[in-house]
Amino acid sequence: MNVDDVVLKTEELYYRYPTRNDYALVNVNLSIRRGEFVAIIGQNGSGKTTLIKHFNGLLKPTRGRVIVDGKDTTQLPTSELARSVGYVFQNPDHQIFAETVKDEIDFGPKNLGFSQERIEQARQRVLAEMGLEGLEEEMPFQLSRGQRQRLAVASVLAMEPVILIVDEPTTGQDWRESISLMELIFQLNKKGHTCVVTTHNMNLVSLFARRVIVMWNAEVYMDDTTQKVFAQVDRILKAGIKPPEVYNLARRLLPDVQLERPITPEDLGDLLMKVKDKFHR
Amino acid sequence: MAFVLQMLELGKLRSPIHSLDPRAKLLWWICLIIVPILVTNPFILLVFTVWIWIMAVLARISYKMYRFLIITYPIMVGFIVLTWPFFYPATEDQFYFFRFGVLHWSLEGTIYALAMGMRIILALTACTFFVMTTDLMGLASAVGEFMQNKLHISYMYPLMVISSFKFLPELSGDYVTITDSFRSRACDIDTGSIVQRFRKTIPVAIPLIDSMLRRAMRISIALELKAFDVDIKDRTFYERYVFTWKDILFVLTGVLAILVSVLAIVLGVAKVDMYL
Repeated sequence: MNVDDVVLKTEELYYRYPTRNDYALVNVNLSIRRGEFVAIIGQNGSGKTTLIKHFNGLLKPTRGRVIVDGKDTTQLPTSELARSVGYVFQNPDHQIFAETVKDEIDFGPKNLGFSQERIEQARQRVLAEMGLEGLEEEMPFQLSRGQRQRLAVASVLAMEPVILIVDEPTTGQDWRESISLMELIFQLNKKGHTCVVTTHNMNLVSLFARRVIVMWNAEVYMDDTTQKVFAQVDRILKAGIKPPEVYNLARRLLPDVQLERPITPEDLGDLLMKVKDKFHR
Repeated sequence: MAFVLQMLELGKLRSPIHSLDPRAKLLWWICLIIVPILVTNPFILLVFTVWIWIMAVLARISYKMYRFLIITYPIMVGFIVLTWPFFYPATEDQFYFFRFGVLHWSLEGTIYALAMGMRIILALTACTFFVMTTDLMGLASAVGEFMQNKLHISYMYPLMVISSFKFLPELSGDYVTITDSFRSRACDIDTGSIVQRFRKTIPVAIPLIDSMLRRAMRISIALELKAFDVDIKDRTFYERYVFTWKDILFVLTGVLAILVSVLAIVLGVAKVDMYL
């Protein structure tokens, strides 16, 4: 791994909320490299959101450091870190305010002082990427929940951040909308964006993330490739996480198979093909 | 705003003062607001202010009060002390620091401004103490119970007040989240001139109002589903508030403050004029 590829790093990060006595984050040491697609998972209250709020300086470490794109987050306000880190909040209605989709997307770039030409280019690009073309003059509050969520992502992407952080992007959405949004984020990742997503949906994690960080009791409990994390069932169950359904199905169908665990329906299909002889017998 | 909303949350703490009947604290607060209306002698006002601070220690909120008042004291009082002397009537027998045409600043004007400042300090300290020691939901509930049982006024009105207090923490949470989301889009609402800051808060207000309206809609539906507004007389209340001897004693300390003020008036020491 090239050290220069690290775009986000936490060093002995501790955080305690002013109103609480216990730590919300304990000794978190992470490195996220350029182009990674990372899922942060964990039970409610495990520290996921607290951790990602450190990535753009919304929270400042009680102890330790967070380095984003070479910048120490304690030295810069969130509004400045927004150049490097795009943060999409769980509820799109908490950020939408403009009268038109176009104005909503332009808000961030204008704050960053982009030229008019660059703003227009960025707008056209994110409208296309997020599948919102033709809705420029629509009123954001009249869009569907899924469209509003995509608008929230678009308005952050327009600022051309190095890292995109998305907090619980699929909350309150049906499976089709969830898949559609995650697919869009996945496409952004393929284009080179570093993506960090928090979610409770393990099926989506198994489908899209290449690396999984499991938070438990304010600590990083596991940090590995998606396959290796879900292969350690006992450990993730201990952290209160249920493996993806397809994984449970594979275990029930093939309890004796010692091959690497399948994590997507396609993987399961491949695995079943490999052991089909056993079924025939 | 978030700080003020957090301040309201302190009313739920536990202490000998917090455990008193909210109506007793309301009456006590009214007494302490009457005192600076009756008295302008800064020394008497200072004694009452110190008394409230001692009570704040008993209520375990002295540090929280300090944090709030350390910001508001200088703003409120500083403005009075800096401007009032210019408007104090100019007479020949005053000691002037400077006098240029209609502009003047005298020792007497400064003392008078300090006395006015002390009145503000006492009122502000009493209000802060009251808010930080009283669960406003409890107060609304107690007043609602009183209104229904003694005045035969529908419980619906106090319930509206209770509900609005109940959702203050959620409003506070929404406000923090919304301002965070704007910061994440490079809109720093904490920097710039007052006019710039005000302009930056307008976009914040829109999602905040939107979220409040959505919540109000959800709550109203939930209330109707739970048979709210069915015409039933003699509705009971979840909590019953009864005045105890502690509450009576507490109210009496407030009444005592008024009596001391009246005594000061009778003795001719209540007004700042005695120093002028």
